[in-house]
This record gives sequence, structure tokens and C-alpha cells, in this order.
Amino acid sequence: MKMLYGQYVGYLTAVCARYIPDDDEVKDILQEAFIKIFDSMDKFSWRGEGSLKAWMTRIVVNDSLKTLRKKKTVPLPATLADLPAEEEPAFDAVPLRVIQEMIRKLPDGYRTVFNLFVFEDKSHKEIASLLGIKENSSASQLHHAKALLGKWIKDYIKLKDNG
Amino acid sequence: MDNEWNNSLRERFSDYSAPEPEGLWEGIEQGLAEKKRRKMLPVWLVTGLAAAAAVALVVFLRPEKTVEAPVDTIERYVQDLTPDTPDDSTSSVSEEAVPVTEPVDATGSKPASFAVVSRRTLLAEAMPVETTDSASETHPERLPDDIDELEDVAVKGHSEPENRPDEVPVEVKEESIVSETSIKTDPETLSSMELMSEQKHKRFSVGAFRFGGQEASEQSQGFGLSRSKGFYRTRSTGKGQKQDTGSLLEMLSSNKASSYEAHHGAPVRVGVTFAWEMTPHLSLASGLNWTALNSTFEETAGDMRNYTRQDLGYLGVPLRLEAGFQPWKGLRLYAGAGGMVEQGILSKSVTTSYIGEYLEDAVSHHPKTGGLLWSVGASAGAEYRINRVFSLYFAPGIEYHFDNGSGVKSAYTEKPLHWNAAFGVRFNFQK
Repeated sequence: MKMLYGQYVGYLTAVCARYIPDDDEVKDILQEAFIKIFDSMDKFSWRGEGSLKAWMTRIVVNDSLKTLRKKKTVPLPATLADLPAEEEPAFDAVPLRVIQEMIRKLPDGYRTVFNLFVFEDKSHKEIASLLGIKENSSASQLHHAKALLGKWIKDYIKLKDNG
Repeated sequence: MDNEWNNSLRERFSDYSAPEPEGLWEGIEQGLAEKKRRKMLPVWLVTGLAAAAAVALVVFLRPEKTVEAPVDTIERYVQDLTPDTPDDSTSSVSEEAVPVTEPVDATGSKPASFAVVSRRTLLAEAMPVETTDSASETHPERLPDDIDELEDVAVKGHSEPENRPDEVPVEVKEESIVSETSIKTDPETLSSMELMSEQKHKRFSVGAFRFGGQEASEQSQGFGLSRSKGFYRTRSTGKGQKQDTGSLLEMLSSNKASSYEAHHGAPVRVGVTFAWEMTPHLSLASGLNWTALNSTFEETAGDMRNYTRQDLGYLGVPLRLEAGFQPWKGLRLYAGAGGMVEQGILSKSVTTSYIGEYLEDAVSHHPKTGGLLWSVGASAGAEYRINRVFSLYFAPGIEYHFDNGSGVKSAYTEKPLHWNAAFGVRFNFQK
């Protein structure tokens, strides 16, 4: 158990933290998720390389979504509708740690849709079903998330260039 | 473009790790330990409920009730035997006296006549048991225990019997003290003996089981109700001496129709079984079983009737090898074989004697169940998992009980090879 924990705790912490901005909540969710993982290992069926990681990630994401639902922060109404539609921000020059923190700073609704669409590869239809929102709301929130993220990345690069 | 950006970001984050929260592992360990404790509670809760149900089954599923003799009947019996009993002693004797019958001896040389006191001795002879006479414990005038004493009482009590026109006089003689060795058998009466045997099978048992699960780390524990049916009946009718508990009684009225019936009722078995998974498909199981056996024996000779209720309790340790596999998810098929050793822990036998409708006597015995009782058995079953915790199982099987030479008759001895069917709920848990 400890070996499995050591191998995946860093990755799963990053996954959970992208959904949940509060560190204490991240710890609580990870604790319950790992207990669930260890407790239901008999349910896991090996389906090739990466299947275990995918299974554990799914548990962590589901628990994170549950927490967000309890807080009733999903979905978030679009409040940044006036943001201009921009091209995807170029993030190559930005460290992952910084991008991670930027994602965490996104409003709950934007962040959740962004994470599900980008990292979990969910369609807007699936996201709409998961979060109980309309498909176009999901698309709209993704658009706003990317716009906000792009703005922050630009600001970061500008700040770095200046400084 | 969108997809490229998404894929690129996803790929960059595919191995990204964040520092783990402080104290996370300790919290997980604590949570797992707590969960394990919570899991164990239902195990013992269900174990307790199953044990309670088992006790209830043992108590309430007994097919027949023990007949208890009223105290006044025993006292009256003692009064009848007491020499200085006033005037009614004679009439008592005439009430309880066994009618003098045809000679038992094949030679016909001596007619046998007996006093009523002999009947108690007959039972004692027929069943080598420790006798606890409730009357002797409670009544100041102890009932006689040995033959000589009985004879003395009988002689005193019936020294001058007052004959009545409609009664057969009682005559006590040396020959009236019967023993199996002193009686010669009449070949004719023996040949006329008709032996009938009817056997059905009725049996209940409740068990709690634990066995190896699908995964190496998994074990399961469960509770089961097993039931097999068996109803044993042996009956003999005719005249003369039989080689069982009814033989001596029959002699008392050998010219009258006599019968002997033994009913071995539904044995009830409850127990807890634990299994250790040796390989994913093979496990070794052992545990502790309690089996309750009850029997009734009824013997009649003329208007005399003895009714005996016998209760036995055996504590057993089974050892069993089981092999199983899963043809489909949730379904497990298994077969097993093994043996069990049992030791008689409780035994009680209460005999009540009647003459006509008159309850004459009640004697309590403790039959000696002898040494260890061995048995072997095999069964095959199926288990269907309802959810992670509970599963249903059904496992018919057969078992054979070896005779331990105790001489005590029970369902085990009357039908040593019998089938049974275990079914119930099994509780599963993980290590």
C-alpha cells in the first residue's frame, strides 16, 4: 500500500489540487480517495499499462466533483462574458507549477469545466451531464476559462520579461 | 488547434506531481484502521444474531416435548412401594401389578410373575446409564436402586396380596427378578416377531462460515442455515423377547401384543467455520459445531407403556478441504470433503411409564455417549454473491457417522449414512 501510495500520491495531489483550491480540502479528499482505493482494489481489473493510474485518477476526480457539488459552486454563471475571444495562450514558457496555480485560481465553474474538458478529455455533452448544466454553458465556461488563463499567462510572461 | 492545445497541455501535465499534503499518509492509515473496526462490528453483530437464531432453532424446532411426570405420581408410586402403607396398599399393588402371563421360558416349566417394581430395574438393565431418580432425591423414602432392594420392597409390599376376582394375583418369586442372561428365548415367539422399518430423514442445521475469497487478500465469513431431513422409525410387533430396550418389558406380558417404536427426530446443527485459503482455488476449513439429537422410544406390552425421551448434544470440530472456482462473476461453485470428530457433552433421557391411562413412574437417566464420535462427509455447492458483503449459498452433501460403541441409539447410529443440505447467508470481508 505504501509503495502504491508513494508512486502516485504526487500525481493525484496535482490532479485534486487543480479542482480544489483549498489545501485542507485537497488533503481530506485525497485521504478518503486513497482509503477508497485501498479498500476496493478487488474491484480494479487490470486493462494494460496506465489503467491503474487512470482508475485512481477517476476516483480522485469523482471525489473532487462530489465536494464541489456539496459546496454548490458548480456550475458558476458566466461572469466574464465580456472577455475577448483570444487564441489559446502559449504556455510553453510558463512553468507547470505556475500554470497549475493559475488553473486553481480560476472560478470554480470555469476551472471544473476546463479540467474535465482538457485533462479528462470529456466532451461538453458529458460535462453537461456530469455537472447538470447545458452543453452550451459548458462550452461557454470553457471559453471563459481559456480566455482568463490566456490573460494571466500573458501577464506572467510580460512580468517575467520586464523583470 | 483546440485539440492540439489541449493535448499539449494534457501531455505536459501527465507526469506533473505536486507536493503531497502533510500528514496525508498518517490520516489514510488511521482511516483504514477505523474502517476495519467498523467492518468487524457487523461481523460480530451478524455472528451474534446467527448464534441467537441457532439457539432459537435448537430450542423451538424440537419435534417433541419431554414428558414430565407429576410429582404426586411419583409420591404415589413410593407410597405404593412402602410396606406400612395403610389399607390402600393392596389395591395399589393390584392396580400396578403386571398381569401374570404365559411362561417366558421355552420349556414352560415356570410361569413368570413380577411385581411392578421390577419394571424400573428392567429399564436400568436395558440401558446402561447413570440413573438420577428425581423421586429418590426429593422423597424421604428413597426408591430402591438395586435388584435385591427392589425385591425386598416388593416382597414386603405384596407379601399378602388381597386377591380380587377381576385381578391376577401377584406373586413374587426368586425367578421374577429378570435379567437378560437368565431368560431363554422361545424360538416360536422370535420367529413370529415382525420387524418393520420406516425411515425418512429430517434434519436442520445452522452454520457460520468463513472462507477464502477471490483475491489473495480477501477472506469471507458467513452464516448459513443447513437443513437435511431425516425421520427414523423402527417398529417391531409380536410376542417374545427382543434384543432391545423393549424386550424385557415385553416379557412381562408375553402373551399379549407388544410393540417397540423408536423415533429419531431432526438433528439440529449449528456452528462457526473458518477457512484458510491455501491457493486461490483451494481452502482448508475448520471450526466448531454443536449438534442436538433427540429421540423417542415407545414400548408397549398389553396395557403397559413406557415412553422415553432422549436428548443428546455433541460438540464437534470439522476439518474440510474445499476446492472452488468462478464460472461467472458473482457465482462460485465449490466442492469439499472432510471429517469431523464429536464428543457427547449433554445427554438426558426421561422415561415415563404408564399402565393404561395411569402415569405410573418417571425416571431420568444420563446415557453415556461414550468416546469420540467420528464422521466423514462430502458436499458440493454454489454461492451467489449479492453484494460485497453478503452471498447466498446452497450445498447438498452426504455424511457417514461411525459407531463409537457407546450403545446409545440416535439418528447417527440408526442411519449412519445420510444426506444433508446446507443453505444460508455468508458474510464476506477482507483482511
